Amino acid sequence: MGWIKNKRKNTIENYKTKLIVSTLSDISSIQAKLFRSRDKTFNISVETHSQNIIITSPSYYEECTRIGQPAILTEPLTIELKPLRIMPRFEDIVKIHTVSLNDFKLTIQRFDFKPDKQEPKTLFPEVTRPRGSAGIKIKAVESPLRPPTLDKRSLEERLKWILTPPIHEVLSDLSLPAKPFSFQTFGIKWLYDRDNALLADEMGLGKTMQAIIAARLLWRREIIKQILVVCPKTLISNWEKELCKWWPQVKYNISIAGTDRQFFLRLGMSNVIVKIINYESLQREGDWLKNQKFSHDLIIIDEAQRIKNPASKTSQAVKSLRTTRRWALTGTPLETKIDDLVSIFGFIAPELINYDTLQAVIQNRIRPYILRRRTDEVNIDLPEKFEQDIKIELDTEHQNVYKQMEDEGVIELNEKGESITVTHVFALINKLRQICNFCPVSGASAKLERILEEMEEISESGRKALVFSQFVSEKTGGLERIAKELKNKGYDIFQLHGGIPQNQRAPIIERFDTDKSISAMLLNFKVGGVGLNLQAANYVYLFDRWWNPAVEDQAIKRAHRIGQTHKVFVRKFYCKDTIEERILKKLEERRRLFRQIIDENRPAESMGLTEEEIFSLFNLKVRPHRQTQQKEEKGPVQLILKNMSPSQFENLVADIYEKQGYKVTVTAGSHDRGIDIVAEKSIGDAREKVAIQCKHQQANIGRPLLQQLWGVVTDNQSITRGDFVTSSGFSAEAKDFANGKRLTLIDSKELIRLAKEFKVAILE
Amino acid sequence: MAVEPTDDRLADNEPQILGKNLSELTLCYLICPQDAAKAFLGALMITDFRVRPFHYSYVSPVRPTTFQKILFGPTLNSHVKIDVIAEKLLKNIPRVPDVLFVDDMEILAVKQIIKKPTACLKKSTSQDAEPNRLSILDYKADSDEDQEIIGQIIAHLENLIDLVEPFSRMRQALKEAIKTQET
Repeated sequence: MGWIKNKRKNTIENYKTKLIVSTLSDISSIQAKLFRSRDKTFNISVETHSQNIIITSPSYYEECTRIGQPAILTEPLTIELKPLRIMPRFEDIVKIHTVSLNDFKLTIQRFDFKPDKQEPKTLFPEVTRPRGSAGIKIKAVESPLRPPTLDKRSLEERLKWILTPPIHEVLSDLSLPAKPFSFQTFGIKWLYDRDNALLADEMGLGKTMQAIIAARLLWRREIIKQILVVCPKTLISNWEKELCKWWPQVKYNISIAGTDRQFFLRLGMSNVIVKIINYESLQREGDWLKNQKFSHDLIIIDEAQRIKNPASKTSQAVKSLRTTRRWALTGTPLETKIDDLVSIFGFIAPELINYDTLQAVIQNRIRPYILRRRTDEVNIDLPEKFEQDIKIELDTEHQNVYKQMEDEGVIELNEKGESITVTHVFALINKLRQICNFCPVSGASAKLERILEEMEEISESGRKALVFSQFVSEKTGGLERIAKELKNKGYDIFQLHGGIPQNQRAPIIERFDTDKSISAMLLNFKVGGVGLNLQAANYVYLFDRWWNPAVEDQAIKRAHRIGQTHKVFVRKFYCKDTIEERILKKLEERRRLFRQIIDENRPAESMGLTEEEIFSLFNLKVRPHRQTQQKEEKGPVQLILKNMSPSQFENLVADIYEKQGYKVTVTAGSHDRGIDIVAEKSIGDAREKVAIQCKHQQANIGRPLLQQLWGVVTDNQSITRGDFVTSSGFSAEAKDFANGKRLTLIDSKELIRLAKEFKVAILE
Repeated sequence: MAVEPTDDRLADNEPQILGKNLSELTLCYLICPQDAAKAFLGALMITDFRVRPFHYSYVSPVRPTTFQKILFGPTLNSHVKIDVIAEKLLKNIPRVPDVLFVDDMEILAVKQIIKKPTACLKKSTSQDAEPNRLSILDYKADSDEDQEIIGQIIAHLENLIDLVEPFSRMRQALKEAIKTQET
């Protein structure tokens, strides 16, 4: 500040004093003048380039204010007056504390960022990025909310997050084969920002693509090096296809789990960027995984509803994997109950919620980690979808056969009295549904006729159809029967179900997409219902219905998804005045509940059909015997029961089941997930298989053990029911959990009653 | 491992500016805002031509003393922003940029320190928009020569990226950093 330096001119009145101006040290380098006011206090007058200001102690400050003289109030000046004999020089009498006016205190913080990593370039021309393809201008989108975990990160990481250019700018850098929709751009950024995420977009909105691109961006920023994808077996080829489409540079850096699964899971080579394993393979390594320490950078689990049961082996294996980032993809996170969501979050963010967390708390906690968009909410131009429930009228003969079978079945059920179980009812339902598909006497099928009526037009116009059925074999009037009939009419068709070997499925899907001569694909819900892209078809037939509407929706979305260019026609068949019509009514009710729970975040209600509902399908008068609640007695038999050893207790339970006509296998030693006994017997055409868990203990049985048993029941389709037998009782929570499920709770009272009824002695 | 080209959004005949390919340009952004308490803040960001950051630095809030406020008078703002903050930030940069963008005409004089083409960059307001105008940006350099160079850079880049957007990122980052410092 030249003007200050050049014009520095300190003056002082004729006071022969030594002045100490410690409190005003920083005025020393300016033009200043010391003077004494009328009250004999000392003041300093400073001259700035614009005005004159008095720096004064309180007494003179008031006067300055009164006369309008700019003044600064300061502490009273400390002045020491000493008579001096010799006139000193100015510098000797005024102690000057020099502080530069440029003493602005500031510190600097700096952060340097690495540029994005460059992707491996493929050697083959078909996947080389077309020049200019990355020039796609992507529309700007609103930024997702700050990720909840960001606040715990270092300042450097937070600044990196803030300073990263907007996602639409970053995506414009990539060679993408198509421009993502705005909601997808948002979803990519949302995933990119989160270490723990559940992307729960409705089917067909491109969850796989969003996950691939978000992972690609993380890889480019060197935040991750390797990705493990866990998906159903049927979706492996789809993941490969989508990876090659949205991240073509890694086409030769993808590894798929083979027979040496342990080696595969540990594999950390830099040239393997994406590893893919199916749930079934992973499940086999569940026990081994529990003791492993290796970790992945990012794990993506597709169709995350596969881990909705916390007790299932699959769920436990997935949760044994170590990783720093966890993404789950599913179209139906709350497919049945909020419990499923809790289990899925057991993988995504294990510490966040548990089964004891209140439902309202769960919803609040998980909200920042879930992103769900519905097709009708997002702005995409999917072709229209026309869904129709088609009421099929059976011909007279078919109707009569059906009626006769149903009447006979109901009589049989009523004859069972209190020994009736849900399994008996299921057996009749399945039998009747098969009859609805094809008449067992004449072979007629009104449903097939309806398809054939439309098939000619579909085929001739170069369109394709998907036909879904729950049944596969020819004998049950399933897909193989439909295939036979369609082939007889000259249509080229494919089938995709559990009977088609895994290695044939990808070529089938590929050919269905490209081969114009193929008119239809016949699929069962389980194999063809999830994850596949079958947009080549725009007619969807549900030949018979599934109990869970979410499963039906999944099936329909195979055709009605991004990439579909034609209107989609969905025909959902049900036969008039049959069990199908009655089930449909139940389905409609469940669909209403489903929307309430998932889309409006209302409190979850039970979505499973209760035992009562199943029995009401046939207006059955009988109900299974249920033990009424009784006060616990501590009689001699009770005491004997409690004093038994665990093996004696198991033997007692096995005896009771044997006396009921079951073939009993005690699993001692193998002990599959807590199952102690497997009991089987035939009931008419159906086979009942009961998984029995025995627990000989004093304390009441809680919910977790029942969840484990329920996991076994739902994982194994051949098991019709799970029975939990204990020498004690069940907690209220456990009873609540079992309510409406195919679980039977047998406490000490009920066990004693059964022992008496079937004449099994309870011996010490 | 083979790598993909830096960016193929540019045409094969990539334009040359300041003796470099456009994609080799290094941009620098500087902001010197004041917070609610009138403390002076400052941040600088160096980016590639696609505004991907290489470097970000900021200074702690500068609070002039009463005497500094009085004695510098109306020259205080430019003095603190240019001679104190910008100078300090520019002394610490890891690489010399080819061009500097500021968001405030008051700090355009920073050109005297960095000696590189410098311009104040803003989005055109709707009132300013002319029907035949090609650029959506307003830019003002302190010399005709700089004005021309910056005009060329903007003409090539503004269709690919938003050149003004980095200022908002920098402000947000500055807010985050200061908030962290204060807690």
